[in-house]
Amino acid sequence: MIESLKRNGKGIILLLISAFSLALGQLLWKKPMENLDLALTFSQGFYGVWMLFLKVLPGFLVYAVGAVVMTIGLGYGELSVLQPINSMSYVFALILSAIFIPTEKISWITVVGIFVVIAGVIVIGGSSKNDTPVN
Amino acid sequence: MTPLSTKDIIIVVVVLLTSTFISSLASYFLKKSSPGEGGNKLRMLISPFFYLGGIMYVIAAGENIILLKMLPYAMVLPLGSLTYIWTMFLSNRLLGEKITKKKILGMCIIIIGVVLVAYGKGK
Repeated sequence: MIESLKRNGKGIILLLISAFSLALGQLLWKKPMENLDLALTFSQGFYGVWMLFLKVLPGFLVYAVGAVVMTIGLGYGELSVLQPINSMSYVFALILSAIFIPTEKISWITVVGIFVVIAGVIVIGGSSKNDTPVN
Repeated sequence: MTPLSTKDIIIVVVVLLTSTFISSLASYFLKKSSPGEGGNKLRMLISPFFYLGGIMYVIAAGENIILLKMLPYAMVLPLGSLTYIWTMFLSNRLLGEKITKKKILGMCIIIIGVVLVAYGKGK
């Protein structure tokens, strides 16, 4: 386990940062997408499209940063170990929405699910090169 | 939501399989464009694989929107975990990474967790 964390450590941290950006980007897009009225946007012509662009820009930039960080991260370890860490974006999304959208209720089943996802990421992150393959 | 017709079910299965496969393949291309240890970090920005991976993610996201129109969110979210299974398969075939019991176990635990998260959100 320690050996794997050493080998994949940088990648794991970078993938966690990118999962966080994914969750943050989603949160930033939530409002503009919910209130999106395409007919109104296009009836306003260039002004409408420009305003829509400005509204989705922050989320897009956060996504782009996440993609760059993820790409760098994938260079530091096995794809089959690092890619599933993306699932932590669900965990970060729930934490962020609990902080910024306190009216949104979170059920205890979801909280249990969060801990189960974290446990799975730890098991995969701790898989060692010396583990015997099944194939 | 109205029950799905046979045609809808076929659409759902095809869209689900292709979107998860494309998103898994996208991460493979991103890995290919990755500078790796000590590599020049700016070089990835001129790598075609980086943009190919990015475009494939956008396509997968578009397909996901189609799924969300046909199925409840609480189902779409866990079904997306199929991506991790594709990734394990692709990284074995294309990168020679081992499929180990621990990786399978971890993946199963993650999928159970995502199902619980989605189930809780759907309530």
